Amino acid sequence: MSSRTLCLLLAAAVAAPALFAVDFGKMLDPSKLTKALDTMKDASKIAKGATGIGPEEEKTIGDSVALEIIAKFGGLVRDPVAMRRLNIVGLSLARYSARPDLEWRFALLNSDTVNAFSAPGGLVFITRGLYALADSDATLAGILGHEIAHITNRHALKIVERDEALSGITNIAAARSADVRKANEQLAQFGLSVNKVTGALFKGFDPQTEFTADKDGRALALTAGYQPGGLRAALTQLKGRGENRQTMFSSHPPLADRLQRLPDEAAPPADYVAPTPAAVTVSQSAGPKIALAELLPKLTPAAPFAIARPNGHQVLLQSFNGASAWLRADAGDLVLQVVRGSVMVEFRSGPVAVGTGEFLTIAKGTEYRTLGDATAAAVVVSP
Amino acid sequence: MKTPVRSAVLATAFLAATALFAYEVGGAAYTKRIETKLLAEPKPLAGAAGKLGFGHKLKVEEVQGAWLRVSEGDVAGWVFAGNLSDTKPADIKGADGLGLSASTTTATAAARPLSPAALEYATSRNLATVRSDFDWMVATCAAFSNDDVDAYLKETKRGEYMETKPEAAK
Repeated sequence: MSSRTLCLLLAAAVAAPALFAVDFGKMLDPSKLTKALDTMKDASKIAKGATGIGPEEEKTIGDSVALEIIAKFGGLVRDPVAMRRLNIVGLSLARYSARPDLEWRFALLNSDTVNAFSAPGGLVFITRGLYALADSDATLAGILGHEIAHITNRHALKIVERDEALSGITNIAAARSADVRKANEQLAQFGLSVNKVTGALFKGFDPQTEFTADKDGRALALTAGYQPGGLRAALTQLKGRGENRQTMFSSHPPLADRLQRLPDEAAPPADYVAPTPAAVTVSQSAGPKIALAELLPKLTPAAPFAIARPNGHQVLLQSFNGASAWLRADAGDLVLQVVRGSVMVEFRSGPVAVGTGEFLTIAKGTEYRTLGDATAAAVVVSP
Repeated sequence: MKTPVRSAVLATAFLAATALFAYEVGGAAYTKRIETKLLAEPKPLAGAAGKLGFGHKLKVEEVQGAWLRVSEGDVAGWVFAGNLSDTKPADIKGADGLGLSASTTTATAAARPLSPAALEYATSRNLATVRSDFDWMVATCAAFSNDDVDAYLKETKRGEYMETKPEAAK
């Protein structure tokens, strides 16, 4: 008998009675004994409540929670420009966070509601509705900082910290090959744990936890060098529109309570302008006439058609993908004619709905943004 | 071209950030990354003076704005305060026995797909469509490198690229 086996036997003799009965007569095979000890080790940790959720387990929980978040909020917006901005700003915060080595990822949920969620392991999601408020990188950093703080403080993991269902879940594939029924039971139990986390995320943490995330997120944004007041600016914008608890941060405390606890800081200047997607130039080889009906079925938000350039002006046929960033008609007046569906053009003074066949002029120097989906299309003439 | 507004914003951000760092000479700071580089000067592009692993307790020898000169035994150098922690980071180990310090989570792991158990979970919950979104997210995010983040921070003068002597607002 090797010294390792002897040690294992001795260790088992000491540990087993306290945990559960082990029949040593059937366990003289060292490999079986090692396996049993591993099980006991896990059980012991759970019994003592000493087991934390390690990096691999955290990733497993986080991935599963992320799937539920994506499913509940209409999938992801596959917009490479927004993804780049989200991730570059998000990663620039994450590198100075308390957990810089997590696999941080940031993505946009296809929902008009205003909310954000974080899944353990470094996955952060914000809705299109909330992203539209981020008219500066500092504001975006304020929003993302809050979610990063939930992850670095392990707020969601604390809900399942002592959950036995998590034990061994990272090895479920191997477990399935040994005992399918047991693996299915384990997966079902794991599903309940995921449910606990998503339940907390969708219902909301307790107010104090949210206030802590506000405070830590603001501090992180400052550490990374963003102008203070970003989160406050986003919350103030929402409050100014009239708080709707169904569609705005439904899983967070009331806006007034959050604003009251944040320092009274000025909003960062709006400095982000979304780049205009590269337009596909329509061939005019067939003559100067263009049939919009032929172009409309091929139109996507990511690929507008450049249909003419009269006197240096640009005429685009474009579609929409939710709310645009706030823009300003710096170069001159813009005109927009909706040719399919309807588009909302929001000015600082309020929104204007533009329906099919209607025409709108946006005066030079005016700040505006458009809200519409891929079913809407408009011809936009700009200098 | 730098505008007066931009200068004022940078100055505000710098002052707010440095006010956050509570480090004092003689105090302690802790490394929080798997690897933390110490530099020969308080500049992001200075030469290397050493490197330390996760969770090391360092003595703060000098403070210059958002930069600290720290030491541990024979190893000493400058580091941006945002790269350290004022509290000892927890190295929580899971049932797999792996803690953060032993984690293989590095830049090379940035494209890690859905974990096997989450994959089983996705199948059991009929989340195939969502899985496609998740995979797209992983692939898209894998394209963003540390160099991209560095370039952004450098261009916007944030993080360790913050100006240590901000211009007065004009």
